[in-house]
Amino acid sequence: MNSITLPARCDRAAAEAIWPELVAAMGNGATRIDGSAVELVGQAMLQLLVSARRSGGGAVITASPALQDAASLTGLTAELFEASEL
Amino acid sequence: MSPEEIQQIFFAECEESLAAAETGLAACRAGTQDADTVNAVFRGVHSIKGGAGAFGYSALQAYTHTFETLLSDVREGLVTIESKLVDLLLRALDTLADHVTAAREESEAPADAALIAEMEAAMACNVSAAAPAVAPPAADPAGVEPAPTLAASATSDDFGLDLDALLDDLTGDFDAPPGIAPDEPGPGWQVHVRPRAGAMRNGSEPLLMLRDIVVLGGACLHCDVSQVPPLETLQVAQGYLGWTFTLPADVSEDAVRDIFDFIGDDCALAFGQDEDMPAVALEATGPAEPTPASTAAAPAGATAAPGAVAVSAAEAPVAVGAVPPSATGQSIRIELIKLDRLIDLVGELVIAQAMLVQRLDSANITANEELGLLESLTRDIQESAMSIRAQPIASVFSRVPRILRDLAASTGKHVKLEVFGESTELDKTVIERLGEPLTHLVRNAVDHGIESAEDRIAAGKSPEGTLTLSAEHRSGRILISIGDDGAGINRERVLAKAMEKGIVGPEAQLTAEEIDNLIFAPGFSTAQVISNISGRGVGMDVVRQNVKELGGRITIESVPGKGTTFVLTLPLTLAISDGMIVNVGEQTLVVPLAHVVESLRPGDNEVQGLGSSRNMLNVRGKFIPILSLREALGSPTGATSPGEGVLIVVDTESAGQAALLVDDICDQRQFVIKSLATNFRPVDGVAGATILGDGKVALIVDVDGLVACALPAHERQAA
Repeated sequence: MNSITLPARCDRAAAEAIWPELVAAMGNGATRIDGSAVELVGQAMLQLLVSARRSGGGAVITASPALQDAASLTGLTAELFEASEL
Repeated sequence: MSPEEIQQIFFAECEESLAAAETGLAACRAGTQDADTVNAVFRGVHSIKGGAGAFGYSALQAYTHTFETLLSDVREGLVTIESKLVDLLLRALDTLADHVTAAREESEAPADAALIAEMEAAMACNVSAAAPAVAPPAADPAGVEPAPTLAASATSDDFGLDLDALLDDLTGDFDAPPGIAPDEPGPGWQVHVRPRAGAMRNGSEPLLMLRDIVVLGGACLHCDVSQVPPLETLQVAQGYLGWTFTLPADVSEDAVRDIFDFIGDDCALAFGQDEDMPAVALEATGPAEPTPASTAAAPAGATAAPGAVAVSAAEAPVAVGAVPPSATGQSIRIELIKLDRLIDLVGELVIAQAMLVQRLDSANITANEELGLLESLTRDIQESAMSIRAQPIASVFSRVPRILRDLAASTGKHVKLEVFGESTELDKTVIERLGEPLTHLVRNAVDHGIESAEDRIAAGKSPEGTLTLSAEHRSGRILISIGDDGAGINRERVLAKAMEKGIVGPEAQLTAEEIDNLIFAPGFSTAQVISNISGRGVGMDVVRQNVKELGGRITIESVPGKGTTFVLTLPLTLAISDGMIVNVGEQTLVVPLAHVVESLRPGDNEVQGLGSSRNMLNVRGKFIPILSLREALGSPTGATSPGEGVLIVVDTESAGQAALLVDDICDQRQFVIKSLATNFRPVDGVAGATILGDGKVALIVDVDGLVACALPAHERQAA
């Protein structure tokens, strides 16, 4: 499985940098997104993750507490993570 | 960039916002009351509020909050626009201008309690009892403005892009403005939030605002992910997500609005359960430029305090990259000093080009195509450079309505303003220095020119006076006229006063024009009562001095019973001017063309010695003094008698006409003005210097100064 690691700061600029990598990775099948180092996250990255989850073969996201917190704040927990990963 | 510099930008933007609001309100008063006009006023006030909050100008922020709330009611159609309301808004705008001035000068904020009370009384909740405080309004901002079209223009209209980024650097947080008390409690309610692309630029982060909603007690009910496209077509910089939050009943709608206040139209809000989630509005953006993740920062982690964020300076390049590529309607701010340097260099280029032409000419290489091309390019560059400094005179004229309102309050004279040619452009320096004389002339026209309403009715005029401002280009100069339809200059009283003050002798025979010009004499004032507006007798003197310093002239046209018009003739620029190149002995001098009336070689019987040893020139029956430039220069050679040279008849402000005696006139052309005071020291009778095509320095004659100091007072023509 392809793997993409998210940086600590996942703001819009980070999302713009990750997007082409993610598109390429998703083209090669199911992808694992490692968000365990994420400390900060913004809307741009969240919608990128939502899109990744809903595209192609889907993506499995591993979340740090900060990413989980952001997902919870924005009501995206169910959308982004599978129950077994939390 | 230091905080002080950022503050300077804020105040510069305040001026622009005030001007935009003033224009909008003027349009409202004239009958244009559409959504765009009201929005323009709202945006102006809103921008000032945003910056005021960021810089901690609490008085300014509190005042703009009330003002903005009232405007918001107007914008949403909750309050009807009528003339009384427009008057109130105009007064509120005047006080806002005072507030901005107080903030800039760090002086005491103006008294605004009465006005705030008046504005609050005019708000929807007080005017219409049917509108409850908490219930959602009939139309929210997104409803009033067509969302998809406005979203694209919001960032450029709403708040300067650069300032946004800078403010982020400076303040580092987006706390909601303090002191907004919740309104009356009601049932629990919902808000729909749809951030757009602009909400993610310049260090803004919608998630921080959502967190603020949670701090208020809100909870996310639903996240709309239906608009998120597949990864391949996703544009990272766009906003696709939308949220519905529930809020406790005791939290007011305003408290939520305030959270999103700073990003304005970049986030669509809809209040109430019955409202739909605002639609996604994609902005036209250029291809997203990948930015290394390590250079950016927009923290929103669990450890961060709610609503508090430190945004690093590295964010700025990202903001720049997000600007749409279209160049239309964009502008940049440039320090004036850089622009002045450019103008200086262009001046040097003009000189170098003239030198080249002269050198080639002397080597008999002439009239080739390349030289012509260079000349035309140089002229184009010069015109373009000058046009950068050119500004419409509207920026000066726009101050006048405020002055008239102040005067109406203090004198009781209501004056209608008519403005023509406000898009006429002239040099920024001229514009800046025009403000003071123009203000004085306007005050003078209302205070002295226009009669009281009773007198006007008695004279068969409309009780409301009219002030006419106009500007136009005429043969390379700008004509600005300030006219009133008042009583005209009372010449008997002016003459009597001038005799009483010893400005003219008791037996002086003066023409009507000469009497009119007496009002420019130092210390002259005919006002019955000295008011704080005008009447101290220093104003008109200073006005003429100011205009003269700008290289301009002021004339009066007054018709008894019909009114008075002051006409200012000004150069388009202070850097380049037209002049007559003359020779005196071995010196070459420049006589500014603005002063030149005519030049002539006198016949024998046209020159007569009158009274003193001075020669007088008889110009069509009128005698004017002859002034030898050779004597003024102290030159050992040159024409000594009028028969040997050429006489140039010049007009002066303070000494009437005179004839300058020179050896000959060799050219008439544009010259670049170099300050003598900056490069050497001020010299009486010399206005500056210029460099001629042959590389020699030529002095520019200060015609006014030279004539005034060379002629004894009794020989001068009455000014």
